[in-house]
Amino acid sequence: MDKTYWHELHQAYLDDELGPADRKAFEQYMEANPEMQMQHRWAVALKKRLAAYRDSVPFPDQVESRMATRFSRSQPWFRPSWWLAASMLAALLVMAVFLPNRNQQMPTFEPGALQGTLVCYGCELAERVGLQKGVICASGHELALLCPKGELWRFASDTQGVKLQTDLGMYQKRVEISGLMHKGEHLIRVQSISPLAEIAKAEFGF
Amino acid sequence: MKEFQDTVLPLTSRIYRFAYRLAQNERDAEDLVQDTLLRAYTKFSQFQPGTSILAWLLTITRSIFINRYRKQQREGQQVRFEDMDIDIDRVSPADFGKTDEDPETYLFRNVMDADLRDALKRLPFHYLEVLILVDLEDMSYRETSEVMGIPTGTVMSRLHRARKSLQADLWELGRKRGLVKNNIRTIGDKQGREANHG
Repeated sequence: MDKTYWHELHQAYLDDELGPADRKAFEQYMEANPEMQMQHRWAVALKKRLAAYRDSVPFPDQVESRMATRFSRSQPWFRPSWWLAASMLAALLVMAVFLPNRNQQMPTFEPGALQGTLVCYGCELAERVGLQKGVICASGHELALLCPKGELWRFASDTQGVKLQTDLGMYQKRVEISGLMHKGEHLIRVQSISPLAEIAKAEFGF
Repeated sequence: MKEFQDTVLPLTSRIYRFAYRLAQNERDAEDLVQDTLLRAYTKFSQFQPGTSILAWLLTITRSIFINRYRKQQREGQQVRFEDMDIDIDRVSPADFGKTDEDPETYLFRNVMDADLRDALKRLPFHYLEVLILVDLEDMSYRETSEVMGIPTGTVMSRLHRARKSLQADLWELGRKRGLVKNNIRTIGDKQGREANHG
């Protein structure tokens, strides 16, 4: 065992960190080693001096009272549970404010197919609110898809959609339309249209 | 909240003392205490019952200090360990003035708190903190290793070097002040010691 080992063991001896066996081994080593005895006297004296220095740091009374006051009184803003609740509320607000706009800016379309009858969008709306047909669509009829449950779907104004909107020869035809559907806006990006054999006049009461 | 008040707040003075030793001034020490308590409060659920609460708190204090202040401070005077070892080994009773006291006691009794504080300041930080924890805060090696995040073996070796470095610094101070004569004799010179006391 080298000198460094014993010197490090010496620290543990000084600080009462050794077990009985190591303690005895070190004492035997020190007894046979004058240099270590000298080191030990130095170390004990230094430790005593440091112990005397230990309490020399003045502890300002106001620090303790300030901390005690701060942590003793009720501080709602400081409670972790409240922070959690506040964070969740903030997140909900952010979602409420930004998500609708996000949806408006970037509508999501999903592929699908719908069956229904092609009707004039303006005329249908006018009828629903008790107006005469043609009042809303005075500038021209525009076809839309009326589904059996009464949902009214418009066609996106792309090439296929515009063509279908203005194809008045399809008026009151029952069709199946495949494409991309935006459920929130009831808007269809038409990809294909298939006329169904049966006319839905009886079904829809036309 | 009550558990925090009962277990942590009574240790404020211990945290302050440790913070003061690290920061070396009252203002930063108080800031450190406050930040330690705030962080301890928010992370109190992470404290494992059965372990040392003081070690946990001082770990937080140390972490805040290192992140915030240490970069602003110099690293401390780096002493070559080999040189330091030689100086210490050559200190002998004959190096001191005539006195009934042990020379080491005589020297340290004449070292003022301010001298000791300055000597501690000159220690490299990794020596200083181990000395503070063990000698000034009475922490066990296990607690110290927890606070510093090092093995207990490293605590021992750093402690050895820290104490020797401090001894060497204080011996040099004593020599400059005439508390220690500049004669160099080896520690093993038994005759020299007997002659000095005789």
